[in-house]
Amino acid sequence: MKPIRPMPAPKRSLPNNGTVMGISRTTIAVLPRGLRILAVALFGFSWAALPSIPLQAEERNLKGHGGPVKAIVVSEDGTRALSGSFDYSMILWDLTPGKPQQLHGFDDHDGAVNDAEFLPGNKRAVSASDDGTISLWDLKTHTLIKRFKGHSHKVVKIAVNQDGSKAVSASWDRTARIWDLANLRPGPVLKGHRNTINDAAFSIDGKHVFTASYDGTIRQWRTSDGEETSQLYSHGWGVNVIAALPDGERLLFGGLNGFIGILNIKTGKIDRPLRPSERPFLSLAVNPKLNLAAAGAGDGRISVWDMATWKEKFSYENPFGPAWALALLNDGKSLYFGSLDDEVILWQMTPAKPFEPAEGKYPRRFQITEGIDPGALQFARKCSICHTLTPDTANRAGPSLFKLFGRKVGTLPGYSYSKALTSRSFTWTGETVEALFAEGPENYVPGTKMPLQKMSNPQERKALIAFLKHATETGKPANEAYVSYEAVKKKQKN
Amino acid sequence: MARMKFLCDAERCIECNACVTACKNEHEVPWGVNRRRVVTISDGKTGERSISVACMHCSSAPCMAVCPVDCFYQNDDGVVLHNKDLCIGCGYCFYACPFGAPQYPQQTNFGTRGKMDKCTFCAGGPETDHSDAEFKKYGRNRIGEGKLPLCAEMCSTKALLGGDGDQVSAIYRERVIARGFGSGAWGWGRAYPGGGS
Repeated sequence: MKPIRPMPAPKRSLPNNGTVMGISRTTIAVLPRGLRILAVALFGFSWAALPSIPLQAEERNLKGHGGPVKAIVVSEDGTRALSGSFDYSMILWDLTPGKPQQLHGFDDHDGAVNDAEFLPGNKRAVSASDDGTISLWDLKTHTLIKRFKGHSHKVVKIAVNQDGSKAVSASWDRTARIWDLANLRPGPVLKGHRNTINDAAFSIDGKHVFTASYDGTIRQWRTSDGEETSQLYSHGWGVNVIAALPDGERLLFGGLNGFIGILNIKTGKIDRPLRPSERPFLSLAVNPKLNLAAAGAGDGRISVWDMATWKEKFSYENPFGPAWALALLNDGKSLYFGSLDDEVILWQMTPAKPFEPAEGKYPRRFQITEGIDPGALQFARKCSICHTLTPDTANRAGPSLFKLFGRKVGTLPGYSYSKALTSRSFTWTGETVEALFAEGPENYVPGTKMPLQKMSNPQERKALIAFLKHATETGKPANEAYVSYEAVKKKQKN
Repeated sequence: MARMKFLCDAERCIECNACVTACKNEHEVPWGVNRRRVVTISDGKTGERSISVACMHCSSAPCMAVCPVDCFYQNDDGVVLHNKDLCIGCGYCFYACPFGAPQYPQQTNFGTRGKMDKCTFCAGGPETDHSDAEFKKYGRNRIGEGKLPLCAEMCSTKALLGGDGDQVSAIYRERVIARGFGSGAWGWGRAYPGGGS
């Protein structure tokens, strides 16, 4: 298992009267963050000791992943959240009042985690991955109960029925599969779509499953035997996301052409189109208690509707990337979304706040296009999504490259390697790294978790290795390593 | 230098799928992948329309913006190409693309991650022009041979136009004037906002 970042210091509560040396919590809370920290330092208790002071939106972000977040779901009671990431892990979060806490990271998948879902009671959860499997987890003991196999391509979505006895997975192998979570057995395979299946959902009564596909159709299947009962709707353009609405009679769906609308299950007709987007719709969230529905699009637009009137209540545009995933919080005032960031971001819907740019995060580390040495650029653009240069792996999908050269393959403590690497005995050198990228990981170390990736340009490989030889020795973060490498090269020239 | 663009005139597309077949055959595209497809909306109903869709080689390509491993690049003609050696099959481009262009083979060499495949505007890829490696990974490089994309060449009603953006839009403008109505160029504004280069 990958090491999980240390937990923040335990919280201490303030005096009951809510004042410290005569200054109220509210007064402290409205101070700018710098002054608040100063106040905390002066008053002699830790920053973490302010649980009841309203947290700034950024402080409620879920920080812990090492890659872009593709999935976020909040439990029905609002106390827990699950997130899935490009970093191959799923993280369980505690959302009880105060700063969100990372409870555990589950990293047994061999590919990105695309979706996750709680079972009723929050004791179990399921996750779906690029590795083609579905995992059933015990959230109390943090153990894997069962790995369901059967799909032959990535699994992109997973849904659970209301009593938690069944799950349905949507896969790019053009099938959906129903899984018996009560008896830990595979169930019917839903075959019929002519292209990738992008989403699947249970009907409210659990008797049917709905699937949405790139082939442009929404289909209905019987849960008990997996028979297709009807092709509900032909949209033409691919359908990306689908959700059953609480009335049991309608579906909310979004397409790759930027259409979003409400489909009547009985008539198979669109009851109501909603405000379209210029980019594909990628995520939906429905919260029956709040009577709110939300959708996120490829251009970062997030819209929230009141399901009683279907009037758009709130909208937001994330300027930095798509809204891959959404989850409405039970306070009815905020929403979590996943984008290209390594964290789940909180958007405070109401009271509305002016947009606050997130300093220093953009462009993302893999979006740098110029201004650094060509070898450093190779690292930034092609490697940094999965690897750090510092001793800290930062929960990225791959191991840290710190002190790479001279390290025996598959031996960095704390990183969960594939057998393909632990069973080998070579050492990482300029030559072996060169061979890895010239031949491709799948050929050089067959069976590795490292994605299929070759660098066919010898000059680019040479530049990358030269940079890595410098940067992996310094232990500096990438941004500092880029600068120090420039300085070294300049010195060498002179 | 020309700025290559596609335009599908939905008023003319008759859903014959010749473009799909021509592309598949010319590039020997693997099973499970159609670089070009015909989408029919309101099928069998009033207002039915068909549109031939592939990568539009967008001016500000959303696939390029989300790729975590820098596998996309735009050539001097504005054609958006990708390097299959670098692609890790994450699928981000599949979701980002408003035309559904990126495709993934159903049968892969290892596990479940395959290399993304999409329309190249018949311009090949980063391998040496007209080499076996280029053909195997990206298909035929007709642009390198001084030809235009075969899908547009094969279109019997000339609904699908491919070539220099200025010429393509001039042809479409003439049509609109001649027939007295337009609105058929689905996706043009989305791919090339402001007529972008």
